[in-house]
This record gives sequence, C-alpha cells and structure tokens, in this order.
Amino acid sequence: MIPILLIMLLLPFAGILLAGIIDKWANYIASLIGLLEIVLFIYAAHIYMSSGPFSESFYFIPGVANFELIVNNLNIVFLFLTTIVFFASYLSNGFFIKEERSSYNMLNMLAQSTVLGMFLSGNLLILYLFWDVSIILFFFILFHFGGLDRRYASIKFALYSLFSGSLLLIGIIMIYFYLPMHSFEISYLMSHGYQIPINLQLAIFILLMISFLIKIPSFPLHSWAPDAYSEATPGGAMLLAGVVSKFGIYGMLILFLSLPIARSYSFEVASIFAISALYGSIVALSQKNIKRMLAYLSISEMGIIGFAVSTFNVIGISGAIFGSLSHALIISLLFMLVFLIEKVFGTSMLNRLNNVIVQYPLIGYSFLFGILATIGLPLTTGFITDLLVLIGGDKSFGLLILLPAAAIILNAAYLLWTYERSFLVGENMEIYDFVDENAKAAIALLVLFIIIIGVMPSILLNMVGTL
Amino acid sequence: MISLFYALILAIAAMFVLNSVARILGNKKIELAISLIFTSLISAVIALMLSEGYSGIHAQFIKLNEFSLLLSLAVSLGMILIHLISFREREYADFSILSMFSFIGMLLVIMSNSIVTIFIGLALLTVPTVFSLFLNSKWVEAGVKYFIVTALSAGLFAFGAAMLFASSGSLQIAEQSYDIGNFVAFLLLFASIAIESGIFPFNLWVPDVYQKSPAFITSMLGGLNKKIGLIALIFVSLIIFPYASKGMLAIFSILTMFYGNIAALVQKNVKRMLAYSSISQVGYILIGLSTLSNYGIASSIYQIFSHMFAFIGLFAIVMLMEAQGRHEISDYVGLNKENKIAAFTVAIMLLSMIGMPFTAGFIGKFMLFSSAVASNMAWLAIIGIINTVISVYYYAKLIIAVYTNKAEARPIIISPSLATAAVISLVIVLILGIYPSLLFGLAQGAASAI
Repeated sequence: MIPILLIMLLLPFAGILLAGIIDKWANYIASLIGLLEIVLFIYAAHIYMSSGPFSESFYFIPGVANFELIVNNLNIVFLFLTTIVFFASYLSNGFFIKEERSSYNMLNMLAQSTVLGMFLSGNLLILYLFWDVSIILFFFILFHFGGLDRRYASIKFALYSLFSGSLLLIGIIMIYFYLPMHSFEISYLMSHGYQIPINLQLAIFILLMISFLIKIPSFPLHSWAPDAYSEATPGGAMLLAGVVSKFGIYGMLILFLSLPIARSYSFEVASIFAISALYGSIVALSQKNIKRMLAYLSISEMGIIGFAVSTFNVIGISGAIFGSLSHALIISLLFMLVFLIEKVFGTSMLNRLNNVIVQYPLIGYSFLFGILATIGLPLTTGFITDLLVLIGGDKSFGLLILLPAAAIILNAAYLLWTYERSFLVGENMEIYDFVDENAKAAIALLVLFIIIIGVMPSILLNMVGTL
Repeated sequence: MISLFYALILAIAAMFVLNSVARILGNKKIELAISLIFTSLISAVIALMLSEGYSGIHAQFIKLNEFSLLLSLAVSLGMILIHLISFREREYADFSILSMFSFIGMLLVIMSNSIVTIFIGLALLTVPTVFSLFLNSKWVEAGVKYFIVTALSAGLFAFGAAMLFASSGSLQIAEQSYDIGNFVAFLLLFASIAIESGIFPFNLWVPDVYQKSPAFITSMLGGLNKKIGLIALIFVSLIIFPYASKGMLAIFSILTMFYGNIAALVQKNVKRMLAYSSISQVGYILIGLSTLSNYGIASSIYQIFSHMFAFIGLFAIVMLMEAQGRHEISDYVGLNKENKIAAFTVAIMLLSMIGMPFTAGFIGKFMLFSSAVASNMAWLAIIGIINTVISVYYYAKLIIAVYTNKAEARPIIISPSLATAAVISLVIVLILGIYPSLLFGLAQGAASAI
C-alpha cells in the first residue's frame, strides 16, 4: 500500500528542491505543489470515506514514540482547510511578492509540510514537533518578508508562541508519565485519559488551555495577533489567521475529548471564549486600519468557535469543526482582498479609502461577499456555523449564548457600516484595472468553496460523523 | 591475532609519532592529513569495538565498556572537527601536537577505572590546552586565567583522591563507597570537576577565557574539555557518591541554568554570549545526572553529543567571522546575504541549542525533561523549560542579526576545511534530530553499562 499520508507530508520537500533549482518558476512550482496536495487530500478522504479511519506508522524513538500519521473524523476537516488555504496563498504570492520569490515560496512550502504534519500526527510528541517548527517558519515569514513594523510584530509572535509551545510540552510530558501505560498516542489518550489522577488532570488542563488560548488567540492572551496579522505578508496573514489559529482549536478538541475534567470546567472556558468574542467585536469597532479590524474580527470569530468546542455536545462540536473551515476560508479571502486593496490603492486606512466598488469592482464585490459570509448569509458556510454554534450553545449553557450572539450581531453591524463608508460612498471615480490571473483564481477558489460547502454542508458533516 | 584494544593503542601511538615527524619536517598539510587519518582510524576502531560489544579492564586502570566506547567515539569525531577548524591558523603546527595530548587525556578520563586515571587524564587534557593558549601573545591573558583555575582544580582533585584512598585503601572507582568520613573528599572532587566543567559558582573564569581565546581553542574548551569534566562528574558523583549527589546536583543544575541564561541575555560579544550559553547547557545536562536513573544518564549523554556538535559547528562560522574582525552580534548582520551556508549553519546550531524540533537539541532536552518528570522531579523539568524560554531571547537575537538584510553585502568565501567542518556537524545535528533512534539505543546501553 502507498504511504499516502507520508507522501502528503514530504511532497513540499520535492517542491523546495525544485524551487531551489529553478528559482524563476518558484511561484508556479509552489502552486503546483498546492494543487497536488489537494488531490492527495481528496484521495485520502476517499479512502477515509470508504474504509474508515486509517493510519501509517514509522520508526522514530524506539520505545517512546512512533512516527504515526492518522486520518480520522477529528482532523480530516482541518486537513481540508489547510490544503485549500495554502493553495490560495500560493496563487496570490506571485502578485504580492516580487523579491526573493524562491526563498519565500520555499519557506511557505516548508510551512505547509509542518502544518500538515501537525494535523496528521497520531502522536502527541510528533504533534508538538511540528507545532514548534511551524512557529519558527512563520517567524521567518514575518520577520524577513513582512511589513514596516515586522521586527516588533515577529518577535512578539515568536515569544508568545514559543511560550505556548513550552506549556504544551510540559503538558504532553505530564500526560505521558501519568497515563497508566506510558504512551504519547492520541487514541490511547482519548480512551484512557480518565485514568490520570484528578488533580493532575486539572494541572494538565490548565497548562494546555493557556497554551491553546495563546495560539487561538483568545481574549486575555491575544495581543500578538493584531500586530502579527497586520504586519505579515498577504500569504502569511492568510495562513496565520486561517490555518495556524486552528492549531489551538484542534488541540482543544483532543483535550476535551480525552480528559473528563474538561467537562466540569466547560462553563468557565465557554465564558472566556464568549467574552473574547464580544471583546474582539468591540475593539474592532474602533479600529482605523482595516487590517487591524480584520484581525480583531478574527479574534471574535475564533472566540465563537472556541465557545462551540466547550459546549461539548455533538451539535456544538460539529459546529466548531465546521466553523473552523468556514472561518479559514472567509478570513483568508478577506485578508487577501485587504492586502490587494493596500497594494492597489496604497493604503489600508479606512478614512483614506472611498468608493472602492466603482474603482475596482472585483475587490468591492468579493469583499461584500466575504462580509456577508462572515455575518451568516444563508447558503454560505457562515450561516451553518452560526446555526450550529447557537443551537449547541443553547443546549449546554442556555442564556450564555447571548454573548456570542451579540458578538455576531455587532460584527454584522460594524462590517456593513465600514463597507458603506469606505466602499460605497465617495467621489473618486477613477477606475483601476489591475489584472492578475492568479490572484483572481485564488479569490474564485475561496468564494467557490464558501458557496459549495455552504449549500451542501453534508459533505463535511458526514466526514465528521457523530464523533 | 592482535586485539582491538592494542590496535587502538597502536593507532594512538602511531598518530603521535608520525605527527611529531611531520612537525619536525614543518609541513602543515601532512600534519593535518596524519591527524585526520589517525583520528578517523581511532574512531573506526572504537566504532568496531562498540558494534562487537567489546568490554574489559586493562592493567587495572583502563576500562572499556559501552559507555566509554560511545563517548570516546563522540570525542574522536569532535577532535576531527577541531582539526578541520584550526587548520587555517598560523599556530596549527604546534596546536596539532598539543591537541593530540589533550585527546589522549580525554580518552583516559573516559576510559578510566581508577581515580588516578581521571586525575592524569584531566591534567593531560588541560595542560596542553594552556600551552596552546601561550602560542600567541594575544591569547596569553586567557592562557594565564585558564592555567590558574586548572591548577587549582588539579590540586583539589589530588587532595580529594588522597582522602578517598585514605578511607578505602584503594584507588579503583568500583571499590569506593560512601560514608560520612569521606564526604569532604566528595566536596573536593566535586569542586575540582565543577571548575573544569563550569558549574555555578565555579564558572566565573568561563566567559573571560572563552572570549579571549581564539575561536578554535574556544570550540575545544566548550565542545570537548567541558564535556570531559561532566564525564568525570558521572564517575565521581554517580558511581561513588550517588546518595550525596542527588539533591545537590539538582540545586547546582538550577543555579547553573539561571546564571548562564540570565547573564547571556545582556551580552553583545558573540563568543561571550556562547560562553554563557554553554554554562546554561551544562545546567540542562545536570538535570539528567541528578535523576540518577539510567534514562537520565542516557539523556545526558544524548545532550552531550548534541551540544558538542552544535557548539563546534557554530564555532566553524565564528572562526570565519573572527578572521574578518567581526566579534559583536551586530557584526553578524547580513551574513545571510554574504554566505547562505554560514547563515544556515548558525541558524540550525542555535535552534538546536534552543531545542527546536528536528534538531539534536530537541531530543536531548526532551529526554532530559522527561527523565526529570519520570523521577518525580517535575518541578525541575518546569524550571528547565522556563530557562529554555528565557534562552530563546538571546539565541534569537543572533539568528535575527544573521537574517537581517544589510545594504552593501559582499559574498564571503569559506575555506574548504571550515565548510567541511560546518557541514559535517550540520548533518550530525540534523540526523540526530530527525532519526534519534540511531543514538538513543546506544545511549541507553551506555547508561546501563556504567
């Protein structure tokens, strides 16, 4: 049998070699790799749908951990969003990055390999390995290629993320030693997590939750995110907001499904996320830079998804997984459009933008679509997410759903208001005509998936199953 | 049929004689060739002995088993790199012979079966290093400082060994036993070794000497001499005084880690910063030793390997920069534009010292911290991880400098010998990180052999 998951993991390295040899074509090679990864994912999903979860295991540290890759109902959606968002970011790179293309694309491909490895790993140690390496890669993407204030933003990002990684490492080592049969395997943790002594469970839970709150990012520990998102490269912002923030959600899913203590503290966790959702919306209201506004929008949306995980019922968790996909597609679309706006109009300050929809209709209408999808337009993925999250939340926490619901309404209000001010009204009637086929293709790809999955959510919800 | 042990002795002797002849002829290239050929031969013989599971005691004072063979292998590989690094220097002709003495000293310490062998080995290791610091008048300050501390260390060791002999009537390591009467002997031996390997508070000489020495001698001091001190510590504290040393090593480990990391935060000179970083690395290694478990010792051995190659490989590049008069962290700005391999080597070696996954440093630190948790000392692991987070700041400072762009950057060319050393250590660090089972089983076997 072909080790398809290992090929998925190693394919970017072939791209890196090729891009190193023929650096003129680095963009095309990266896009090709992105496309091949989608094809491989579809093949893996086909195997998964026809014969259930499967895994591949290789030799790593004998007696401690195997190099195990899995596909199951938890990670399949995350793999899907990773391949799509990476493909879109590769497509847009050609338009945005003009210098040192080959090294930028090589870094991105390496990042794709680590992100896929993180979601594929069936073993906590391997998960940590990829988690930590991806931090370094994104640090370099930010630091070497980012915007004007990149130095500050990238160092802040690295310090926060490495701290989160260290907490994760302590948690993982504690899990290893306090499981009855010392093991790093996620499946073993899920089936035997309840055997860890209760006070140690609490310690592990707190350590890991802090680590995930940083990574998601959620309210008290989010301050790296607006800087990092707004100073990153377009591709970097798409990946950080769309994919890397899902690390925390994925970790939370594993944590909630394995340690019983999580259930008894789920109300507290849900409150943190609900406050985070509302906080993100309120802070986004006062932003003058559209990039920072989107960053806070992302924090608010991630708060809603985190809230959905902590409901801990089938509908809520399906909502969280589905919402992760929806958020990844929508926020990466929005970030790409905002960076296009900055590139075309030379600014991303809201008060300097006007009448975008006349000047550049493609950006204007796509942005409108992105906003509508965010606030839950029916037939887009946003609608399904909001529906599942609110139903699930109501089942578990009752009236606490008023906070995320308020955040959703507030998001709708300021997004539409912003759109009206900066996109619809104004005197500037000059028409820009930037044509970049690849960027257009990336926009089309994301819009297409938002609609397809919004119309037929059963494609994904079937994969997730009943958990 | 000649046994492998005699082959080893013969190789060492032949290396020494031939190298002396080459020195008299005055040909640096022949000297390098002889050193490389014979060091590789010695490594090959040791690897062969290791694969055959050779073990035995020779003449009461040399003991070969998995532990000593594995570490001898590491030291010989490190020595090959040192020869490659130092080849371009004017002083190489003399340094080559002096380092050979040091090499024999290292092997003696590693293979020692009696206290006296450790003592002779340490002296044979340090005295030639002092002499090589006297080869150039610019290094004399470092030489004098190193001479004073090593003399003090030797004195303490001799005194401690004498007290041990007085209490047990024997010099064999295996025949010593702990009683309250020879606790003072333990303290003396510990202080002596702590000076050698830079354990807080006996490490005040380390930054000065490392900074003022030339890069190739610093790489030997930090990459090899320090590790030999730690191996002597394994013999003294883990075999002779296990009960006395458990809590003590943990405390010294914490102090050493914090001292090294916090002092390194404010350094501007690269070599001085790396000196403090190597102090903190000793602290991490002590975590594994303080658990007194097989797994802990195995993890210490792994970390000794990983730091040895990371340190020596990094100093290949420090050597390159030093030749251009670039000493400060700010001088490293733009290295990526000037030479991609050098920049990549610096980045990977520093990431390995931080403990980034897929480098040898991660597996080492992971094993160290998990050995602490396994011995119910989770607090020690947590302190170790806090230190790792602190250390990110100063390692990242250098990585950032290397990858910051500079306005005018002219390509630098690395000499082939330096490039070889850098690439070899790069490959070792990455392989030990990606495929740890290569060394993991050997380290565990070595730990259970002592």
